[in-house]
Amino acid sequence: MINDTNIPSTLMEVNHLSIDYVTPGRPPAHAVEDVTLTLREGEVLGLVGESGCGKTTLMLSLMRLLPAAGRIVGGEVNFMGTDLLNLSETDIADVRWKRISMIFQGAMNALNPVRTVGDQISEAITQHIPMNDKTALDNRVGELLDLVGIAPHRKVEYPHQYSGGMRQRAMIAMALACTPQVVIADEPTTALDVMIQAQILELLQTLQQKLGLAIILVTHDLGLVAEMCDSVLVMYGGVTAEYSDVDTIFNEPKHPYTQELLKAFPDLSNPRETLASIPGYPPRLDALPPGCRFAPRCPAVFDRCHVEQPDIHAVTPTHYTSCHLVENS
Amino acid sequence: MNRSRVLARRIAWALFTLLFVVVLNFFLFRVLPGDPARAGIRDPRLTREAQEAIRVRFGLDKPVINCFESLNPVKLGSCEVNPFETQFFIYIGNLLKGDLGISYHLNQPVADILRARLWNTVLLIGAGQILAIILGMGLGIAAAWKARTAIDYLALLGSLMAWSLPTFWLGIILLFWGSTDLGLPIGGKLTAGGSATNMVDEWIDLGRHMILPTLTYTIVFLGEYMLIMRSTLLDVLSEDYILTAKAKGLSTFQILKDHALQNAMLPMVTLIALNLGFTVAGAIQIESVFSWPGLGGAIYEAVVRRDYPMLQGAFLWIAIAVIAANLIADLLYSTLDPRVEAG
Ligand SMILES: Nc1ncnc2c1ncn2[C@@H]1O[C@H](COP(=O)(O)OP(=O)(O)OP(=O)(O)O)[C@@H](O)[C@H]1O
Ligand SMILES: [Mg+2]
Repeated sequence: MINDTNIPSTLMEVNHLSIDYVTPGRPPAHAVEDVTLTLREGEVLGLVGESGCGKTTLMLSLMRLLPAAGRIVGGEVNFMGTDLLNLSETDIADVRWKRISMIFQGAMNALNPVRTVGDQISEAITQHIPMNDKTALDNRVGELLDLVGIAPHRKVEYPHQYSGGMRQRAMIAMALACTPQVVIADEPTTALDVMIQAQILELLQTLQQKLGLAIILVTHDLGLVAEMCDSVLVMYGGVTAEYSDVDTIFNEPKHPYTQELLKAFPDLSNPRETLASIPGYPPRLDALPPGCRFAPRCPAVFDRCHVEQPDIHAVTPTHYTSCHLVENS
Repeated sequence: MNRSRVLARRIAWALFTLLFVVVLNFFLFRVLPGDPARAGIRDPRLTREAQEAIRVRFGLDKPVINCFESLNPVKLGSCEVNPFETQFFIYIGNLLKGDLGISYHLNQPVADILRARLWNTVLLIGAGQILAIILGMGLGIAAAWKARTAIDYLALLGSLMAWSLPTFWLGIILLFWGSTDLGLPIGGKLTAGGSATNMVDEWIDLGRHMILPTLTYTIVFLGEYMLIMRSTLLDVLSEDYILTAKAKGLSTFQILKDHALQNAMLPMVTLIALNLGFTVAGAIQIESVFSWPGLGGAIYEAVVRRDYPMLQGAFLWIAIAVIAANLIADLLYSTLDPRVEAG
């Protein structure tokens, strides 16, 4: 949807995906509702939104990794021609990691403490690619570690012998082990210090360009989005607020939430400007307002917003937003 | 890496603990009131000479240790005596020779009595523990795997019940049922005046005697193993690295086998080792219900008879078992968990 049709082909299409969390004895929480997005080969898609707006939920559902309480209640995830939501357990297991891999939010504990890092990377490879040659496998693991700047001989070490940044890089190496088409990076640098954050993001960016990966980058850092992403999906309270290419989002945001987010983001070219923050709290997902989810906090709110939920509206063929203001104009 | 150093340190610690226990064990029984001439053999008809002869026989005529004639009542003595002529060093010397003294009551070497008893206990507890561990862990794994399904709830209910059953009561019920409905022997280790003419028959006879006490023991311990296994496994299954494993495309079976179990085994190893160590003391209740000639029965009898050498010997065995079990647990733990080495 970002470029004209002839260039890179579509990898993944998410259509009208909705996810509930069900807790017995409570109304279901509509964590994600009617999200549609497209990912092309080599594209970097940024996913932004306040804490709790459903970013991780959406990402986990793409690999069918939702926790037991999570239910996909509608929509489809079309990946290279197949709907992942209809695959059998064994078929989805083949897609996981080989086609789509994920760097988890807070990946600090994402490695098994009682097995060596190298062993865990080998496992990811052999799970999908039959490799009888032990030395070839070892070499491949060494190569992957080298790629993320870890000395190959450290593959025999255990996760506790790695620093936090190294563990994160080992996770990236593991995510690349089967050369997947898509890597989902869910806040890959939270809990790391600024220097390491920069290193890791630079690494991701280099690898993305070198390997032509498509990446979905979940982040709170709009600076990073501006620098790395081709397109941006802004989520608010489980729904799409705005979705377009990065220039449009930054220069012509239509949704008041996007506008507020951008105001909250310190402008590097104008450091004197005070940082705005959005007053109020995101909605409770099990007791949503009847109209627009953003209405209680929206500076441009009007009567209709309180009674009717806005549909997703195409401003241009590559720019979508769900706001009554846009529909009206 | 420094695995051998860790190993050496652990073994050194175990030996040091053992030494401490040996010394403590000696003094504990000297501080307690009475010697066989007064406490063990309470027969007013004994003449002074006879009492003196008994004291000599049990080595109680010697000073306890340099400077102390006896510790209860405290009686100071010469510090100049040859240390090897004191009770303490004679005790140590005898220990090194495997001699635990003579039972006041049975008038036989303690080491011989205990050895036979110990093997009986090891036989019974070994069989019971192995069964309890295998079944308990198996059930725990199944319950955690099928968490919040009928299988889980049934296993949970069964284990809680097994855990809360009073051992003594369960033993008697099983004894009653087994001896009437199944025709199993009501107690002991072998049929008295054994009709067994060859090895095979003798083994079968032993097996029949073991069924009920082993079953009791298994049921009593199975519940605990199941519950701990289930809850640790559930904890482990909620860890981030399990989600990673799933994302890597591993099946539930692979996740359990290759990622969850090793982590879940860590608390289990400690639990098993502690149980094993302490139950060498004999499942006293089970042994008494089934008249099993084990260590537990021997201890009970020794307490009743104030047979200090027997008790002293038994305590030493128990201490050795606990220390050894802990050492094994430590070593096993450090092979299961690489993080232990660092600490
Ligand atoms: N297992 C669960 N059971 C019930 N509700 C859940 C569960 N996991 C998440 N939620 C709810 O779903 C909503 C979305 O959570 P999610 O983790 O997707 O947010 P997020 O956008 O990733 O937030 P963050 O930026 O903090 O990571 C939250 O309101 C959360 O409370
Ligand atoms: Mg998240």
